[in-house]
Amino acid sequence: MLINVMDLYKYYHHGDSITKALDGLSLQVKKGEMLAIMGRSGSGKSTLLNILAGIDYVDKGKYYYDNKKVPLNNQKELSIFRRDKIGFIVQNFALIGYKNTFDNVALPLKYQKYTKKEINSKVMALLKSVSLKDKANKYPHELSGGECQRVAIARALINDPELILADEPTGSLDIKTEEEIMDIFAYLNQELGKTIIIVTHNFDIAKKCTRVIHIHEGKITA
Amino acid sequence: MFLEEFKASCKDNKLIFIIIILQFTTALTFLNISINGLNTIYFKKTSFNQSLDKNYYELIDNYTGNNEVAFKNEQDNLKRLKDFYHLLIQNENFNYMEMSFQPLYVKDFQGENKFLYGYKHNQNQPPILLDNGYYSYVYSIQINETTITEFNLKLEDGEMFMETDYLYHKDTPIPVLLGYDYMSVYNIGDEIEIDYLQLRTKIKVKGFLSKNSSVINQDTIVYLDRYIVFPSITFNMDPFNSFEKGIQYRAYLNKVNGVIVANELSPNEVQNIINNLTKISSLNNFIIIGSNNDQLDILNLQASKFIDLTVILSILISLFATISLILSICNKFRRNMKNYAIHLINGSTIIYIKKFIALEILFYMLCANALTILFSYIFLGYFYYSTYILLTTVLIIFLTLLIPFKMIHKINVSTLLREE
Repeated sequence: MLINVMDLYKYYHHGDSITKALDGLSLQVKKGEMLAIMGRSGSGKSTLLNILAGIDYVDKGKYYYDNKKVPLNNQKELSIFRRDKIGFIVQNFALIGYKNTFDNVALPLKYQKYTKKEINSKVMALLKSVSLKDKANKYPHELSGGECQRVAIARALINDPELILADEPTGSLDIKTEEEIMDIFAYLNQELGKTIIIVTHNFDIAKKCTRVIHIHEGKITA
Repeated sequence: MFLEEFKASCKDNKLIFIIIILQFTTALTFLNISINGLNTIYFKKTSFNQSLDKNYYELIDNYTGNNEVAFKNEQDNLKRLKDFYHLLIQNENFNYMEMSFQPLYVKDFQGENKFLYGYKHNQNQPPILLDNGYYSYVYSIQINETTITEFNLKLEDGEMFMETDYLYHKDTPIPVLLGYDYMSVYNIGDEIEIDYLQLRTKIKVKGFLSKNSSVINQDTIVYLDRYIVFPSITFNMDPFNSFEKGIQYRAYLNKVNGVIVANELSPNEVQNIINNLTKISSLNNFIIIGSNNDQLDILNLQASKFIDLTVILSILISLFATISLILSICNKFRRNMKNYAIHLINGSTIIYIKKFIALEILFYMLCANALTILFSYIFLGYFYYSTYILLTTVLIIFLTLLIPFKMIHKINVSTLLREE
């Protein structure tokens, strides 16, 4: 089992009222799975993904990754966990506007002790695999939506993580580009054995996954 | 990585970057110059207060018109003047301060017009031709050791007068001190040809007075920055001829027109002592102007008010600058928050981001402080950096870091990543 979360509770406080984003949710994900998480807006699916990525906190619950407890309250260890284990992709690509394609993809490596030569060879190899080698010097505003998302995927893969988390990865893309991106995910899952969890509203995307779960009011319903 | 990110951040927010540096620089420059002004005024105020505690009596000869002609023709006039002078400096009841504002003629003068006698009243005199060259009439003052002590005159460079410097030696250049503004005209060791009371001789630059050195003459502050400060020379030998006697006569007439510093004596007592001394010297045409510190009182009061006003203004401007800087910095870091979120999901830590923010603020401060020192040179004419500026800088850094550090702890990565 790659992921095992048990009895996760997450509350949001708005003045006197409390919203239960996660209400005792438990989930297990095997290595090599491609899981789709579906649900309405505000159902808690993105909150779950953020907790799995180590960028949001839980009020209660346990999180095991590869049978090891994730240090949810230790900022430094959590940042190392995110860097080494997780590749994170979001709908708006989360690229830094003043960095070109090469530097955006190289960002995670710069927090580790890689030489310039190593960074160069790793980044260029990955850009080649997502067909962006010729766009290495372009800035995000010079790229199309699909190209931006491929840059984001390349960055998510640069540390060779076991787990890729994607929050509405095709939400900003047209159908053709959406298919291209999903083909990449399928390749990563089937050929490279990556475990992928995708949060989506889109049934067509969910159909391409090996398992689909539905969340409603912070609980898994199906 | 730090520098790379910092450069990119500055480049990305170029306008904000420039505005913040300018804000810092403006605030610090104002403070620096205010503190400099305050120091100067405070120093002057202290001098005033010292002067207020003392009683000055000006000794003025009454040899004018027919009296002057008659006295000039008297055979033993020089001897009587010398006797009177020695009685004045040897008297144990008071200190005798020599302060004669007798301009000098300087040969081939290369300085600006501001050094020329009459400049203050737009009445510069053109150089005159004397024997072998053109001589310019420049501001000069002749003083003795008591004057230096009374007005706490300090040197910017060089050496102060020694006892032997007050003695005239024929064919030896007379050592002089120059006002601060002369530093761009002459160097220590320079020899200058002059004419002093028709005595054609050379002076040698011994040092430069500190900026804003001043004396008080007839209740008025006289800044010596543009003055040649001449030792009030004493002639030990008798004159060889009538020409030399004329020189000594004029010099001693200046020397006995000095100021009596008598703290323990009443005006009547001073008057009695002087009457007695003039009697011994067979001189009877001297009057005394009693000390009158009204103007100094007013100056002192004005200085105190100005200091209070400047302190209040400086505090208000510092507060305003600090608040507006904190707002600008917070605005800048709010804009950077999404980038910080991206860094956080790619391996960065909160501590790293904090270091990065601190580095950026530190850089702003370094730039602003460097510019402040540069502006001090432009506005004041010399480099000035008050330690208060350093303390203010540290305080602003501390206050400015508080809010972004708090913001970074509350950073909501998932919400920021969803932002367009």
